[in-house]
Amino acid sequence: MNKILIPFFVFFLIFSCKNDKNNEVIISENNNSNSSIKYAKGFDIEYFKNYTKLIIKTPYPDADIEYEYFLIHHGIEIPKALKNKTIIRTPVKKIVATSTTHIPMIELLNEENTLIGFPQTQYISSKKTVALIKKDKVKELGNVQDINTEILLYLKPELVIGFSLTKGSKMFKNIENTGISVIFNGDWLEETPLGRAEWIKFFGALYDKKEQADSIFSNIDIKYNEAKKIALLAKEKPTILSGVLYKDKWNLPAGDSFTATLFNDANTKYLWNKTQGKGSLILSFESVFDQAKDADFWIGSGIYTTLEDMQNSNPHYTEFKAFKNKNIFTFSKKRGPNGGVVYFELAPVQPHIVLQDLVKATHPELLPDYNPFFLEKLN
Amino acid sequence: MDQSTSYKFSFFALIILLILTFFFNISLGSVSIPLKEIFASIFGNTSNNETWEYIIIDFRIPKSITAILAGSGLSISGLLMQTLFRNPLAGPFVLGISSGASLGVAILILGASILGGGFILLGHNQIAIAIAASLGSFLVLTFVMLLAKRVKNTMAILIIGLMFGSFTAAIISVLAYFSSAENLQQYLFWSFGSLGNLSWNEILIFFIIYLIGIILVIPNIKSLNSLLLGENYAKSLGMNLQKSRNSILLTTSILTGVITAFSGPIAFIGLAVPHITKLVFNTSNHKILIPAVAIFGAIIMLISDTIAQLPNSEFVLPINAITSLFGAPVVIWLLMRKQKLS
Repeated sequence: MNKILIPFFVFFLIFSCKNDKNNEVIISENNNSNSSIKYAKGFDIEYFKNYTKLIIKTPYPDADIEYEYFLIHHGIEIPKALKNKTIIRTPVKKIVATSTTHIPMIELLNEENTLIGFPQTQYISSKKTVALIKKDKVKELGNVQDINTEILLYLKPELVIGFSLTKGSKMFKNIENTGISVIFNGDWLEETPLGRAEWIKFFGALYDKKEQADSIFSNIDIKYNEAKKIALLAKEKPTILSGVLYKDKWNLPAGDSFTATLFNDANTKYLWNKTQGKGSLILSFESVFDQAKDADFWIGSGIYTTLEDMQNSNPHYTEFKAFKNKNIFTFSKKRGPNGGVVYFELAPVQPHIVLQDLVKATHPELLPDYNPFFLEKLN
Repeated sequence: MDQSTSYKFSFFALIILLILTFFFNISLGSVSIPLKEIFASIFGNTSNNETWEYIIIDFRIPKSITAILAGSGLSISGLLMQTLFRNPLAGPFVLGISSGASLGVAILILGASILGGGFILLGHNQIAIAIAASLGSFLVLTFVMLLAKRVKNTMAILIIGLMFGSFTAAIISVLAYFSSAENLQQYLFWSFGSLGNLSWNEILIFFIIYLIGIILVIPNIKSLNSLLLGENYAKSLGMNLQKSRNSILLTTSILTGVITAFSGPIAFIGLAVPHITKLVFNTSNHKILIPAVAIFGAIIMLISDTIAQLPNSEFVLPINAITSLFGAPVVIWLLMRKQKLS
């Protein structure tokens, strides 16, 4: 019995080894450059001769799986080994984006004409795209959590750039089932400002515009680090308070968050910079008041754009030193044509400007001639 | 004679307990402040630490007073409704008052997304929210009262109130669907209820309206007692049913309306406290029950708020969650114990 089986096993072993080797060859022989990602932790791009592999490492918060997408130029035959993988043909000609943060990156690559649909277009503030919406070139797709499938099917995009808050988004699964490719963008999960801006390379890969995306990003990188160096010249480190009360809960950025990193890079002392977490902290009034009553600056005042509004909504705000000295700044005063907060849309791709704004606000002597773009003082 | 002395003792004990929970509530919070400093601040001596003094005088004490007003007011309203409808499931919100208030606030906050403009900021103005809530509950109340005049059957009023609840909930969900995440979050936080963030001036307005409500309860005590025996019996005792009914409805609306306006829809207290009180006091005389329910309500609200502050941690929980989370098992336990005893 055994004797009969052995040849079979040997045959299988040889056969399967050989097969594996074949696959190996196809995938590795064309590998001419490795990852070019410098700061972002949520994605990676690997370039091969005939295709590009786009890896989304954190498609949603605390993800335990990675998603792989194989980008292959139109007209090039799909390699056999990739037959069962998710293939996206590049350059993408018709896309649907779902977050306003996608829009400025697409515009920077001069690809706004590829955008054919967007949920809740009223939130978009980027000028070129707003003009396209007016001309009805970008169709409204309804609520972002509940995209109108009928209009989507009618539009026939090649690709939907989605984002997911949890594992297994049912809506995007349904869209995939209709034959439209979906790719998850995790830019909003990046912890560092430069990491978030680096997602422009993700769009560069989809549009076959690697060089252009790389040069846009390295320019941002240089300018950001220049601003950081200027901030280090300051003699003092002012203390920073952030966020506002939502009823009994004070929401403020946690120590490892995007905003806390910006405060740190602007050479200021954010009072909660030692706290853990990438998201936000929820603290009581008492605890914030105890810690930040004498903070020098209050940056990020929620929806409030005047000191009077703050006072009307909660009399306790007036007891802070930053309120008394009128040292309160907000990012959300600048609004787009339809009321969308410009900061949310543009800041991810302009971290250098955000940092310069912060340096100007907290160390005005360092940038005497600079005009802030996002950050405005409350009066 | 015997009975009334035992009640006197119970009331004495309850008031002592209320004072203790009041100080307990003031002394505990996210920031730990030594007892000495707390007493120094309360009794007018200047504390060494300005921040602590502000936290105690302008944050914790107004919050405790709000807890006492809201807890007692809701419990009295709950008792009135349970007696009027002779239904143990009735509570202060059966008339649709909280639904009306919620609708008012929802239109203000969520409607901002649709109406845009200046509405956005009004949604963050505490006084505007209080006015919207009052207007909403007042409109619903007027409607219910008008219907109540035409409807002879008291149960029908209960059902009308419930229908109002469903109707407003439906409008709110439509508004919610079309509003921005930012506004939705704000509305959600309002609906969690909150005792904090009232200034001393707002507390004064709150207290005056509350007092009007309480004064209006007093002439109704006799009719409440006769109502317990049934509407027909009450009528045979010479009671003007229509008049007392309207007066009870008005009182409840004033109390519940002002509480919802200032601290949001706080659940559970109004439903459960009358039951807890009846289990402890074992009487159906409203002369005893009303003050007892008020003190019990205040004590439970103060304890709930103390728990919600999660003393010595930096976090806070929504008050609405705590009242039900800790209250519901207590009511079940009390009921089970009573079953065993009887």
